[in-house]
Amino acid sequence: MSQLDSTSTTTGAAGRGERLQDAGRPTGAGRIGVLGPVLALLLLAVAAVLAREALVTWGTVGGQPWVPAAVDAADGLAPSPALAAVGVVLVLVGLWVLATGFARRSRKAVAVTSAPGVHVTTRDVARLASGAARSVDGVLSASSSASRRAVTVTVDATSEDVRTRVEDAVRTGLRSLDPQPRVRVAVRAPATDRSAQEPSQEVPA
Amino acid sequence: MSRKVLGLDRLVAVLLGLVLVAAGAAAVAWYAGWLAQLLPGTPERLSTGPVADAVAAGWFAGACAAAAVVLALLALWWLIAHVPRRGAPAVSLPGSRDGDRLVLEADAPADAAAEALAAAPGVRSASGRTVVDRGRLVVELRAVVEPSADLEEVGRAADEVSRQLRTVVGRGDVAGRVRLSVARGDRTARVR
Repeated sequence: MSQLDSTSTTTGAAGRGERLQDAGRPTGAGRIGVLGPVLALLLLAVAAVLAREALVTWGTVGGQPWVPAAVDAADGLAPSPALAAVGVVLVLVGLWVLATGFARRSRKAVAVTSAPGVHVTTRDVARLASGAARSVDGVLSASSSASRRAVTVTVDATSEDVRTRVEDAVRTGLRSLDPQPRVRVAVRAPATDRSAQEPSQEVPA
Repeated sequence: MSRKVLGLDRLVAVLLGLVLVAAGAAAVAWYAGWLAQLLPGTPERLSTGPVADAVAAGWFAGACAAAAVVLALLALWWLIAHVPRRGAPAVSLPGSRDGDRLVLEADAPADAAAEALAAAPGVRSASGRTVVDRGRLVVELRAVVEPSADLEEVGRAADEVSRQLRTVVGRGDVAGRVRLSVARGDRTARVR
């Protein structure tokens, strides 16, 4: 195996040959990726109940059979508000399961424009935005949330005046993303009562 | 997990969803009296007599055991199918002939590429592997970058690595993808 040249990677001095084909944006399975294994586990549970039923009936395992008891309990069941409530719950759960079955794959990847095939997720966009915001003078802490098209940064700062600088820093930090997210900044700063301050006094941190 | 398994998950979810909605709607309609209007023969009370007879029959335990075995095997296969298993086979290199094959271990170039990418400024660590994605060989690099990293610069470094990989692999049908993760804390910021 030939060793790739890490020196040329850092300097960008290697020959400009062809690059690998772009494999496309990665996608996640979404909710169905969780529901699928849960359904498989439920099927396994049904198999375990049936196996117990057979073993109890044959006397291999002690205890009372569950299936005849359940069938007896259901016998003579009449319409009631409780049954209707159970029905409503079943409909709601069924609709959620149906929606999960038809849901799109999750698309959280955002492309980096300087190279094809390079992606970050929306979680990483939020972290980049927070990192950029924290680098601004006067910002005490920063947290962010992001979708593919927008990022919201919340900063604790010494003064409201940092808003524009934070917006600029975050936009600069995210300038190489496609799509370029909209940036919203919320600033939490201590209220300053200017009338109570001496003219030369600085805004308290 | 493969797309076929996800397709099966979706199919089962849709069928189960339809069954739940139908059962729930039937229960509500039975209580509200709509079911009796729609189906005049609807009983006022549920009778499980025929089912109780079947449960009491001698063959029921054997049927339960057989169904348990079949369902357990199906469930285990279904569960195991969800375990990610996308490892790629060895890649043939240009110049291979019958009986004289030049092959490259699939993960070897990915490892080397990750090592090269990890040396780029702003990149904390990187790993690589070759996977089969939608029937295509894909060299997938994952790099952890600092929150203060210049994404453009990291992207250029990834591009350079991609070009070198293309040269090493020598095959135009191999695709590449780089997933950048941003570290939670900035190590470079600790130096004051």
